[in-house]
Amino acid sequence: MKYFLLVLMLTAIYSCNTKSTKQVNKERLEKLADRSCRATSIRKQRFVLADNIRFMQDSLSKAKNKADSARFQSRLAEYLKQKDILLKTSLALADTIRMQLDSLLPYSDKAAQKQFTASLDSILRSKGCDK
Amino acid sequence: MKKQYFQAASVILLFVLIASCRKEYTNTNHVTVSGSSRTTRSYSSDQIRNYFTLMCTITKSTKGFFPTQAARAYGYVGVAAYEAVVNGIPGALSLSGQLNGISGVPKPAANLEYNWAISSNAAIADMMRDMFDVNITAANRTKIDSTEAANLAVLSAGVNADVVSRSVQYGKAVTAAIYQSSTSDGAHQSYLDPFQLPYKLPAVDYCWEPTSPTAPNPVSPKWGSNRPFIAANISNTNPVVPTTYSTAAGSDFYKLALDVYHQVKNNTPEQVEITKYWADDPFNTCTPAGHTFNIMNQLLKENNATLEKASVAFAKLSIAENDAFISCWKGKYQYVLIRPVTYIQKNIDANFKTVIGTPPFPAYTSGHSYESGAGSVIFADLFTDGSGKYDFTDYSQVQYGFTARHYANFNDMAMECANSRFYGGIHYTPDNIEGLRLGRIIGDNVNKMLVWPTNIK
Repeated sequence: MKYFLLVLMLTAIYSCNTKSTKQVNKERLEKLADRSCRATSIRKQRFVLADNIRFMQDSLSKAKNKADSARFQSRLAEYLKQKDILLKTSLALADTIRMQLDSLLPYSDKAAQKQFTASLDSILRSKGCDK
Repeated sequence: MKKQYFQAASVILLFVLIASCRKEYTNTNHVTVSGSSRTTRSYSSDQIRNYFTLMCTITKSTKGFFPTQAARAYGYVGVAAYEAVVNGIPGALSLSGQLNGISGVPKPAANLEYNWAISSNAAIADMMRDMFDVNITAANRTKIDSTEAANLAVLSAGVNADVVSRSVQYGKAVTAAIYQSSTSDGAHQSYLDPFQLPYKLPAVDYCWEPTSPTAPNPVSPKWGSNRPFIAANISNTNPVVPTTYSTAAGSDFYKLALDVYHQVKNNTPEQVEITKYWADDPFNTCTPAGHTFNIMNQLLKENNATLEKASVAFAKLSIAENDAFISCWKGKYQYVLIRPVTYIQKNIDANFKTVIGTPPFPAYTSGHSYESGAGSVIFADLFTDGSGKYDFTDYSQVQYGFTARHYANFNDMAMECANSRFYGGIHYTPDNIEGLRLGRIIGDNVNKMLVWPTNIK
């Protein structure tokens, strides 16, 4: 009887542990996906802004009068301000994602790595952040 | 009998409870029983890998660190990291005397005990402070200082105070000697003057022109005169003479530009994604070299590398990346070739726009292709039978909002990086082909022209 109870306890502890680890990992993966999603959005904004800046710089260099030049300069200054804000946000987010990814990624197990990537991609798709 | 079962089960239960409460961190230090030093292989690679991650963070946020300056900083940190631990690697030979311009690196005292991980910690931290020196932000300096202090606290646990002190001093002495050598390589504190002014562009019809009104001067025009770590990396890597310049429709050069034009106009969404994935702009990312170091970092972790293999790996890549940028920049300013965007806007379509911005330096050859070609050869040597075949997913760009990309071969990865510059409208095809070819020669030179320890783990 004692033996039976002990086996039961061991099984309970094992399944509790397994379940909680799985649950924690799922939650952490969700968090990583949320941050990745945000990073993707910022990345897109960053590339759009970079285009706006270089095209505005082109326009500025070809400006035909003072009024155009002042208008382009003012818009460019606004873009550059946005760039600074976006860059700070992007770099801070990159650090968080990197650390989170590092703690979750099964580096030494290729099969687990593939499973991890598939799970992350699946969550990102479900959030509409895969592209 | 039942009692025995009960006792056995109780022991198992106790073990399970202890195991489920265990800390994730395991201290790898232990007191050495004899007076001899432990081998480099007996230490974890976590510390050196974390430093290279920190290198990336600092490169992104330090003024004046364009791809050339970044590759050099990584270069010297990698060499110092190796030299600090080389005496703990059986059969290994110091790079002092093997590398061009690097000599007089001190040797550890015979018969005295050292902790190579502590030496590595001190050497890397000092070299990082030296490389970013004047322009480093207070926050970044604090990051290096606190990383160094935290590592030392962990590594010193249970180690004799004399050994700790001696190992720290040795690491510092190694870096001091290498840093002293670095001051005469032609690029000392080059981040203070990344455009190396005054510089006058030659008056030739194919000459590079500014591609942005805010960047009227090209980056690092005199970089090709820097002293490389391996002389042959410059003398044996002269690019073939580029296609003869012509604005005539139907000429070979015109066709190259037309290829770029058509590619940009017909890019698939995947090709646009690849272009942005490998863009690795300075100040947004840690430059192309930094991307390759991030990949190395992941590969070392995947392969459970010890401090031994990690130190060899980072040293090889550091030498390759530093020299790749010197060789590439030498060719760039020898040929000062006009960028596709300038040529196309003048001769094909005035409204042509590239996928991403064109960096401020000449086209021939491609820096991305050079450095990824060199890196791929180093990876192949360290992690494959030489073929480059390796099932690899690059997670290093996930932090910037990209989806991880998968490759079956390091050569494929380098090729994709090179092609990305064509998709982006940044380079003509020969820039990439020749860059890859020469970068691979540099990787080969690093593997074969220096004496490296074998059977590393």
